[in-house]
Amino acid sequence: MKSIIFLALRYLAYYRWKTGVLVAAISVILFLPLSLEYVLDHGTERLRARAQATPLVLGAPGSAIELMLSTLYFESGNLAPLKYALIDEIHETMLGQAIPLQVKYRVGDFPVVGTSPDYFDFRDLKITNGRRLALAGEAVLGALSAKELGISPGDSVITTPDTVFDVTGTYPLKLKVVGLLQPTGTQDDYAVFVDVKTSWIIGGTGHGHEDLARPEASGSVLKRNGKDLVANASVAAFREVTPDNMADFHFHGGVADFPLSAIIVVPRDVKAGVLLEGRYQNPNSSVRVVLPSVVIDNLLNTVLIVRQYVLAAITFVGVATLATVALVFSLSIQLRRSEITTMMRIGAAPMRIGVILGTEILLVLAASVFVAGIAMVVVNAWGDALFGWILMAGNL
Amino acid sequence: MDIDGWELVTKNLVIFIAFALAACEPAGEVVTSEDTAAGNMAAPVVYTVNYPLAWMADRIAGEVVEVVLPVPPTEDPDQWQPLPQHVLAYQDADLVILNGAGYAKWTTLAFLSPAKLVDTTANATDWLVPAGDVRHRHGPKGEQNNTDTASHTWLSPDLAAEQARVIAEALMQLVPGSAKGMKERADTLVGELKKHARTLGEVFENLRDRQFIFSHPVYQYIDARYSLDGQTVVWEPHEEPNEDQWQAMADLVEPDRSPIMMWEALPLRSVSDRLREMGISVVVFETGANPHPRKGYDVILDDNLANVRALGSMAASPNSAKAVD
Repeated sequence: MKSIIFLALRYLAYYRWKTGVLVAAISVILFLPLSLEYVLDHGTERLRARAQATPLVLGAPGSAIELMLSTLYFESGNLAPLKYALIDEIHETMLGQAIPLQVKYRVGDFPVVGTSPDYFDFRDLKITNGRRLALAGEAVLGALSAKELGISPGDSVITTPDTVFDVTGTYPLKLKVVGLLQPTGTQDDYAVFVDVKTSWIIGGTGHGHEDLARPEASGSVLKRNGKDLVANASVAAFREVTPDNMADFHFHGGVADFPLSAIIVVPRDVKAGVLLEGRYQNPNSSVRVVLPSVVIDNLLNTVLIVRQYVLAAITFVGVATLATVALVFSLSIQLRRSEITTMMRIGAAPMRIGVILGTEILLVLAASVFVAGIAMVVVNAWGDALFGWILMAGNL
Repeated sequence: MDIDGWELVTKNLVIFIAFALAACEPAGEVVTSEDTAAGNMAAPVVYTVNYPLAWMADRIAGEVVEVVLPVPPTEDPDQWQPLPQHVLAYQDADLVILNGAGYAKWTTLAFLSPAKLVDTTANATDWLVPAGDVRHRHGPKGEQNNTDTASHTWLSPDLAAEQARVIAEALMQLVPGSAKGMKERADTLVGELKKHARTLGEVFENLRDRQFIFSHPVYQYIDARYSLDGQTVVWEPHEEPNEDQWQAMADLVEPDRSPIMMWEALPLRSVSDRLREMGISVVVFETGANPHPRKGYDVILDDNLANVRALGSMAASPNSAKAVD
């Protein structure tokens, strides 16, 4: 037996390129469906876990999937805004806790998530370095956004303006980083968290500037009518909230009308959840209520159908590849006719020659299984990092 | 082992079994106000933004809730700029009672849970009066900045009573087990404030023909509630006004209406003397925004009433009026 394996190995080693191509082709055919299953199972599990941990989401009427992507994965999209008054309205019902989310702006490639302290309790986000948010103009970074940006508490980050040439767009605001969050393995790791009021300041709803009633600001005053002033565009807004200028920051209009991209609602109990769902399910309502778990399940059902097609395609390609491999082996035997004749002439039994050829095929298959197995171990071991990379790529 | 030894062993065994049984007692007992009051568990913590609100919350909650006002006594709570650690303490509170009406502007830029905030004047918009501050907008079609509301709402005892009602509702939701006692205490407090409002109205009625000058723009609610039609200047009690201010005061005063100048604290002796020479009576009407080192807000209310009442008794001979201290 030892001599049979020796002869098979020598043959495979001599034709190393042919062997390598065969092993690679069979490995890929084995690895693809297995890795696809793993990635989809793992991804599905993650999507479901985040969705199931988010009981109810309120948003403006529109795409439920876009609302989910904004609320769970901080994709800004083109969601119509909700009014902040809805937060007080929900609290007045005493049916649950309303957590505001304003996801519209970015620091580089990372989403700026404007919210309230309740979000941190709700997602169980813990500070690992620095402190919690306390005042407008401050930011707390997720573990990976901090790592990518190379930021520590005490540093600053600057929000990305809408467009460079749009003078009516948002101006960059310098945010003081006061804390970093522990890694969670979720999209929260890639966020820049701020007070929802800070996101309104970034958007221009709130701002700070010199006191227009002072004589030195007269150049910026367009019209003066008793105690009412109209300022022109030359008023320079502060681009950073500091202890010195904080008192000069203010909002124009009523807070109740200020924008939110979504509201996460945590019902008091199951009955309260049903009542809240019913309250906003009126088709004429200006608010849309969605259950993230249902939306994600619907999305995953579509993904599962696609998976069936992909698996069918992989199976088809696999069968074709294996047929090609069989053809390669059969042609190889044809080409080795003189070699086989020589072996028979020097006394090799036909049975023994068949075993040598079969061993060669088995060794190629074994090597392919081994390579595919190694690849699966790598995927398994680096699965979280891989998903992080996929999420990151999604952000970019 | 002798008899005493056995007794000792038996006694210790009984104590041990009693402790063991106590430790095995099932969890999930109903939390009562008595538990909280007796310190059997941590009392809910309620943060406030000024002393009158803290006093009202304390009166209503009794021992059930710990009421905290972290503003340093030397700071005006309206103008106070808290440090991050102060805001974090507010964040950790079970409830944050706000005055609303633009009071304590720092709260509009603090990271606080909306679920914990109780704006005591949110539903009293019909009662609110403008502060008379300069307002601005950016461009002719821009939104007005929303800071022009007088903020010292509690100075009108009627409005303070409304605020007390809101505080009571919030506290009863926070500690439902103690709602009955809180309701009774809140009703008593509201009754006292309403009575105080009526008495103050009667006292001001006796001063109907007098001219009122307010030393600071904090008396808008007294002015509006009792139709005093007063004028406001900005004079600090601990500062000597400059000659321009004295001249402005001379222009403002209507001597035939026996003017009264209302102060948050007793002005400098030199100032009150010169005001008297101008025929202006000085009355101290404390806002009570800061905790007083020696008296509670109820005493401040009584003192304010007594000071204004004293003016009424001097109304017959206004030129002999003197500073109330």
